[in-house]
Amino acid sequence: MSDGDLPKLSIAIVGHTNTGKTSLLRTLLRDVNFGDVSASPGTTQAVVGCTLLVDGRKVVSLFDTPGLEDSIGLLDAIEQARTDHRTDGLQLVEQFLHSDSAKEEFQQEAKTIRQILQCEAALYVIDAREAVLGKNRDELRILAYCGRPVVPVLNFVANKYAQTDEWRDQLARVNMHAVAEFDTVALETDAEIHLFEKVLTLLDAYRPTMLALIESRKNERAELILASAHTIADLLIDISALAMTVQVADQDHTSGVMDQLKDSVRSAEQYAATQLLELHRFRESDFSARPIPIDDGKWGIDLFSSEAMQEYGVRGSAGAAAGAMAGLTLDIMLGGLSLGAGAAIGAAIGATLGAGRLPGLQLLDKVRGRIRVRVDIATLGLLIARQTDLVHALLRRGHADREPVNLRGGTSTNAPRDKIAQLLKQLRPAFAKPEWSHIPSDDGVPRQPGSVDRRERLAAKVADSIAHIINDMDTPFDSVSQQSD
Amino acid sequence: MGRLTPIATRLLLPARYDAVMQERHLPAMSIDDRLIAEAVRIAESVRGSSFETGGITDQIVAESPADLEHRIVERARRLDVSEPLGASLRDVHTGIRTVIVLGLVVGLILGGLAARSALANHVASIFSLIAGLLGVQTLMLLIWLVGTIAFGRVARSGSIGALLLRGARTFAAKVHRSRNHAAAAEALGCVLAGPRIAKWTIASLTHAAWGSINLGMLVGLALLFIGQGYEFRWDSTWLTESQYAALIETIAQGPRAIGLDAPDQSAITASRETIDLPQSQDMRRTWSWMFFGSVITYGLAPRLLLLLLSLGLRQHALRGYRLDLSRPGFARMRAILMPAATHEEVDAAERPDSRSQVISATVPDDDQTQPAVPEAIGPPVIIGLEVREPGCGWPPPFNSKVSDLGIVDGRDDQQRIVSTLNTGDVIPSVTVLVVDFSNTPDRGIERFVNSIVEMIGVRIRIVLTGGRRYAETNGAETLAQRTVDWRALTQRTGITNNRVVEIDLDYLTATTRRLLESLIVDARATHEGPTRHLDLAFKIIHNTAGQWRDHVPQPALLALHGEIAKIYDHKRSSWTAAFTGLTPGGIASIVENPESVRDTITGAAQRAINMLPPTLRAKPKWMAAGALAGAVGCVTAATLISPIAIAALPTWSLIGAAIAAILPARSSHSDPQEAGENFADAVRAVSLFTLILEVQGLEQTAISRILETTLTVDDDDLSRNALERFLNDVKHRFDIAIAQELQP
Repeated sequence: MSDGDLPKLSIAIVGHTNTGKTSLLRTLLRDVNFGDVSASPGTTQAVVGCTLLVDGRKVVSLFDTPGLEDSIGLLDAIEQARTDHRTDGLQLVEQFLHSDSAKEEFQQEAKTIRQILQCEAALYVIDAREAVLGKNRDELRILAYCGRPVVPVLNFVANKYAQTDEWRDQLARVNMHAVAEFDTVALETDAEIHLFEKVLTLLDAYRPTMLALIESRKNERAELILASAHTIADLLIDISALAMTVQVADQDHTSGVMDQLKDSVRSAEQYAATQLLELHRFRESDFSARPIPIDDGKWGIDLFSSEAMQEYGVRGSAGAAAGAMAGLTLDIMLGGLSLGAGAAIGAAIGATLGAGRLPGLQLLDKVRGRIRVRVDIATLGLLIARQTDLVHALLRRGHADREPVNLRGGTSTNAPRDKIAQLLKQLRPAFAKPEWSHIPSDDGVPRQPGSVDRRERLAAKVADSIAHIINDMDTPFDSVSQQSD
Repeated sequence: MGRLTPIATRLLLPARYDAVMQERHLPAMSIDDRLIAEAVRIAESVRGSSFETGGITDQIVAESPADLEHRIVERARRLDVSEPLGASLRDVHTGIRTVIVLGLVVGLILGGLAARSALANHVASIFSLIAGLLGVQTLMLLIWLVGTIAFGRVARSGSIGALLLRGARTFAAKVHRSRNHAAAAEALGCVLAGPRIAKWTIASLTHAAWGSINLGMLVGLALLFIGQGYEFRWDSTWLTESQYAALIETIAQGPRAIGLDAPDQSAITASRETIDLPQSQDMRRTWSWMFFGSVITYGLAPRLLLLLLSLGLRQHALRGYRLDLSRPGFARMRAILMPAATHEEVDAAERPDSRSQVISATVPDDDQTQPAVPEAIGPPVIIGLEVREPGCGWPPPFNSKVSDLGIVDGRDDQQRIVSTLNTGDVIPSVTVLVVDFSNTPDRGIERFVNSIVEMIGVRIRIVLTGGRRYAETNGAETLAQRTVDWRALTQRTGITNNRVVEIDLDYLTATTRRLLESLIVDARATHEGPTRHLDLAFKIIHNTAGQWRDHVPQPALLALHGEIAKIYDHKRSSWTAAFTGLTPGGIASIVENPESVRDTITGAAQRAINMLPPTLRAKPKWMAAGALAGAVGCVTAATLISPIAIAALPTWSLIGAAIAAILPARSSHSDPQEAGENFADAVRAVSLFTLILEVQGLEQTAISRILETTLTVDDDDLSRNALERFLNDVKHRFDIAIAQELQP
């Protein structure tokens, strides 16, 4: 029995070589480093065990096994042991395990069979892209001999060449109807739950265990979405609140500060992306160079480029996406008139006026002859789109996927526009609170801890909205592995 | 535990949580521990990286069976930064406490001043005195009680406590301005952001402040009553004497309850302003004690009681405080501190690499593996090993007589093949084994191939087919690995690499058909005579390009590609698909949309580059040629299919844009006559285009090898004068490359 009186279940992951057994485990374990995965056969040569936890309790042990590479020869070897027609399959298998061929020629397969016998059930992983062959039929026969409940798992079902129906038909012929579909690369939202439910149908004695696991995985997903939403909310408030002050008369200083602001925002976005990757238990290298704006762990397309906005269908204010001012808003502290500021930073000011001023600081800065520079609404919208798209992609990414994340390119974001607009409205209170930004600023605005709790409350509200957006984004993203042309 | 009401649940939750933790042998955590963890989270967020060095997380995961919150707190404890952050937290606390104490002192003073103000005259109005001492605070208390009891809410701003807290935190922030102090202050803010903690902290401060004011009043009253003599009078327009007496009697209940004197009916009657008699000393004392006692019972006592209650509830809220694990800095720790599983090698017994064993055991010389001299040599045999029926049908078309043993799928078929090969008096002159890239080269197939080798020797040719489909399904890089794996398998069985050819039977062409034929007739494909397509194409290139100047306009380049495409019209569907990735029908439909055309041309340019071997891709001149050949080739293909639709498009502009998308350094022109290429780029591109058309049907890896051999030519000075030499050189090297591929 496991901790907390849940009966502990052991499951062997079996199948032909190179069908994705280790990949399945990587995804179930959320561990991109589990085992070795390659396109070559025989990558896994030893049985490796691992345990799924529910609230820190060990509930389900999974065993990765070497592939059944020569099932035709193996079945021959098993059936050679038959001396009496009354010998049943399990006896045949046990006799085989004591034979010389189990120690020599079929040593690898013997490890797998031994593990199946030590477990309560087996998941038979099938590469649905491959045709049903005689050797697969022999594998099913061997599994039947082992006398354990078997749940066939059709892998790579999202591939356009997947022969899902043929496989289901073949499995039905050997009385295997509880078939799970689980693409270890392009993960469907509920695929994992469905897999566990299929196991549950065959193992009623372990019902509490499987129900606890299913519940735990559902909660984990909800927590993951919420935590992702908090990460994005934190970024958005940091950037919404970020403002830098420049002296109107000093043009060099102005352009220097604007560059600094852009760099700060890029770094913050990159940090958030890294956090999201960590959160979803992926590596930084799990990104593609193009067309998504992430390049080897870095966002590839410049956040402030007009191309980036067009890529996501975000419309910037007139002139806001042009030149050095791209993506930045100036809060002119001279009653909405450019006055001296015009001489300092040129015509771009006019285009960006009115996108949100900071009235509380207006008078003070007017006296001091300064302007405040910060990120504009369109760029914030772009940030929301990119970050939510990233989370959406990560949620649907299997931990076995070796191709980098590649989001939809050339079209708009998956995130609903109206929700983004509402979110931007929610962020308004942060525009007037430069002290809320964690991004270092050199304009000398001290952070006031007295308003931290207000920031926290806003963050919680924004995170809640983002979580809704992520939950609403159910259109499948285009993963590299799904692109066939 | 049975079902609990919500209130009971809220009250019992911390205790139950602690009990669970105790049951699980987890260390208790104080609010200070959690504050440090919050501060670490904030400091790491501001820093943009972790403070961790030296595998603290690994230690925690290995040592502690705790939940995520415990592990986060433990991690924070063990970080070096926890000490300075702890000191900063203490500083901030001290700052806040200082301001609060100062605030309470101010409250005392204000209380004293309020008493002084209420007793400004030696003849004090009883009603004014009561209102001055108790009026405002009683009203505030009632508002607070109504808000708390009726609405369950406590003002978080505007109250005296909220004002005091805000002032204290602002003061602490002004005094301590380091990064650690900022993180500590924010951590405190996060804790206070929790509704219950903030509510009862502010309530405690509010009641403490009013308590100090009441205390100040009492001190003030005591001093004034000791040092001054006061007369207390009353009068009323509306109230009768008896009504007024009843009111005073009601108020006097409080002081009497704590044993203090209060005026009786006669004293009240005697204190009316209309009675022109001085008050006796006793009467004055009685009135003064009543006022003093009223401040105690109606002012100080309820505030003290509520202060104690608020502090208790605050303490309870603090005990119930849990880190919000969905906050970014904590949430990401879940992946690090709470691994989803434990790993353990169950059967790590050393397994000798069976594959390498097979290699050493079975790689033989041809002579050694030949079986005993056969009595007769029979016709070639073809066997499909677990293959789908290819596009060209089964068996593949041969001009010569071939014995088809069918497709092997399963034990019965294997036994049939073994039986057929074993029992005949003749052995085949050559056995062609067709295997599919889609199948994993596993030990089962290896064993079967081995058994055939043992029977008939290595007079075997292996055809690897289905490459394009496999690449589409699994990716081009996987195809390269799969090729290596299949070649390794055949080598282990003694079949050397030169007996393995990659022919895609789904897309069989004249060239690959010759290649296939050569496997059984043991003859090299002939590339002789003036009718060879390649010779014809190169002749046209020679004649046309010989007329070009240094700048080759795009229309001229397109025209030449069109001429060459007509030579290879019999392979049109194959090379059209190779360039565009589309069927002719697909091309016909896509030209309706200029945006799609641009994407298709860009894709074609990239595809042509991908066909080049890495050595050529490293050279800018071949990258340019590849992009140009792909883009122009795509337009050529589309022109053959939909000439009118293509004529309506600005093809020169689309080609320029496609090339610029892949090779950003290149510029494009909108004028077709200005848009063009230099002579060398144009010749290379059209030569590459021709070669790609010529080798259609071969596997991608074979095409890559042929292009590598063919195009590794010295062409840096490619000009009109060097054109003939270049074309001859390419043709010569192409013949060598094809011969190498055909070598049995």
